[in-house]
Amino acid sequence: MPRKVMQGLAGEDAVVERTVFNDIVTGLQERGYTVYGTVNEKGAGIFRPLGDAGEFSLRCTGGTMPPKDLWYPPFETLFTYDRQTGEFHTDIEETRHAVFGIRPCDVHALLALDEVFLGGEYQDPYYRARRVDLPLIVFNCVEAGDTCFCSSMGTGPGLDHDYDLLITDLGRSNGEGSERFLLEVGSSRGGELARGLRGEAAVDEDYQVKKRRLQETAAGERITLNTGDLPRLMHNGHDHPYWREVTDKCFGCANCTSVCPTCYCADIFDETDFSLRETRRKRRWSWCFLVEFGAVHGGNFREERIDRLRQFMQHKLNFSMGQYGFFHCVGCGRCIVWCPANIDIAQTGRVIRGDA
Amino acid sequence: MVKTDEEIEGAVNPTLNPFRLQPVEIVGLKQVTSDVKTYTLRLADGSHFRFLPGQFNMVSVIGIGEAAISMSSDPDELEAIERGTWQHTVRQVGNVTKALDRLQVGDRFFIRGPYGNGWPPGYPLQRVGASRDLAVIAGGVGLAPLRPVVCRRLARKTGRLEILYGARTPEDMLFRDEFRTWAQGGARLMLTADKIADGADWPYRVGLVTALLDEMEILPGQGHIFVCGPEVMMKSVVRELTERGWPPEEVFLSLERRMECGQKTCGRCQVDAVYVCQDGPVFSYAVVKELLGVDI
Repeated sequence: MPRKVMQGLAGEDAVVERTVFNDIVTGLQERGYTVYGTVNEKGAGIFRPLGDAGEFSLRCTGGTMPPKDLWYPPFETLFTYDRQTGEFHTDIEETRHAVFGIRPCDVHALLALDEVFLGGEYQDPYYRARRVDLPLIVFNCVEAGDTCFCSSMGTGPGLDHDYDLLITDLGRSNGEGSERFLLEVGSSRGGELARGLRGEAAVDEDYQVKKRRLQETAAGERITLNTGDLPRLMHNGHDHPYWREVTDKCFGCANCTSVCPTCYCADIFDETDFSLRETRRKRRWSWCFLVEFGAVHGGNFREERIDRLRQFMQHKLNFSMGQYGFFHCVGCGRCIVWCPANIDIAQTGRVIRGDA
Repeated sequence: MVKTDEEIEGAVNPTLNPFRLQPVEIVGLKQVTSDVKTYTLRLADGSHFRFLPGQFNMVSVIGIGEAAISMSSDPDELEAIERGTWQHTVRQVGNVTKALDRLQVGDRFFIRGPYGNGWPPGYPLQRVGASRDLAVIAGGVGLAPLRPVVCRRLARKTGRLEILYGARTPEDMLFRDEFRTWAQGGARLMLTADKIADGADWPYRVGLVTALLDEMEILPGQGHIFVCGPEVMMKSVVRELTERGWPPEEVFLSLERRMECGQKTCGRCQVDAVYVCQDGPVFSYAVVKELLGVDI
């Protein structure tokens, strides 16, 4: 089938070259967005504002840290109280961030947080202000990281919903020529961004190549976890002796929960300035691995480290299913990377369910 | 598909901030025990505060912080409705409650709420017949969130009401000056103290609250039981109730957990797949006994 070469796309799916990345980033910047993307800094993939797409690194997979702080920052002020006048001041500013190069697992993590902050009886206006205008330029993964297990969790390596633009590296034709990327449009906002870009109209073969590359990526994931009936098996395995074995290795450092893209637990606390004029009520991330997390007057509901470790893993692989209908583990593998004791949540899941 | 701005906008009312505080004024103060006070409050803007028995507020002393504290008064009492008042009965144990203890009549602090499901019939998915018999079993300050239930039942005069109450010492008992009124209103009161001073005049039991269960006249199948107290106390109570043939669906417990938000977002009160702040704090024992991470 002859390809239709387009000088300026009409906002539909296309095959494009890498130069188009810069047009997309520029297009977002011209529309007033700060565009965040993974940049390779000293060997770590960091989400930070891109000057242009030349800084963007395609090889970072999901990034060393998830881009979670763009919609849920580690610290934020809920309101300020003027101790002289007794007045409250709430400053909720709608951000205009765009993410270029977010991966399917992290999009699933974002959707999980949407349910937490916007899906219940109380909608969080602070989260909402950062979420309401957040273009997502998603990159499907054509290479599995060492600790990825998204295909087990059903969150990758490809995405088929909730993107504005979706980019899949198709490789070079016959291993030669220029790099080719399939650009798919998932929203009217994405269509706007794609309009006028240089490329060729996508044909069936391009989708076949994409499908094959995603299948290869999934097959290349070295970590697996069978999620069939997993919540029930985790429930039944709450007293499995393996929990003690894992706990004996765990330092209780909370690295895993710090890098998890779905962790949302928080402290809310007051901070008064030294002049005693203002008190700020703040929210900061907290983690179920901390001893004080479950403490109340007269006791602690998770006094032992085994209780805290089990809470973390049971929440991801079991409780979240009962709460929200999907797992709060998206298989990004960051908790495995960051664990100083080499604890592996997927391995734990396999043992508890009886597969290892 | 990505939600459009309008879809997200439409899902929430942007003018409502669930963290917004409401100023309250202390209109009455009463020392209940050496470290417990009852605060009679009203909203500073004069509007009416509605709640269900067993619900709680996040109480703020700005600069110190917030604490989850249940309402201790009858929300349907006519006099309170006319005045727009309600009560919290608070034991000073932490930063916020100690800061509250320094406040006087006329002083203000802040609340947001009410939160939680409350005792049946507020309890979701569970209709508990209001005319059936009811036993409340409380330990220490656990009587505070049950007082609204007691007052409501006495006002309605429907079904038998039994109150089984235990505290560390007789002096630690809440609402002692109301016991006579409760008894005259038709409640059967059974009291016990863990220990009493030598030579003290104490015509009731000495021992744990479970020691009172044999005195209960309400039997399984005749009504419901509401329990509130330390988890270790609730554990021994439900064990003995189960032995006596009480079905777990008819026994309700109010759980305590650390809470920062009351809105299912801070994650602190998660137990298994429930959030104690909104799915609870009241759960039937049938639910509680299946929860991982609750030692009851």
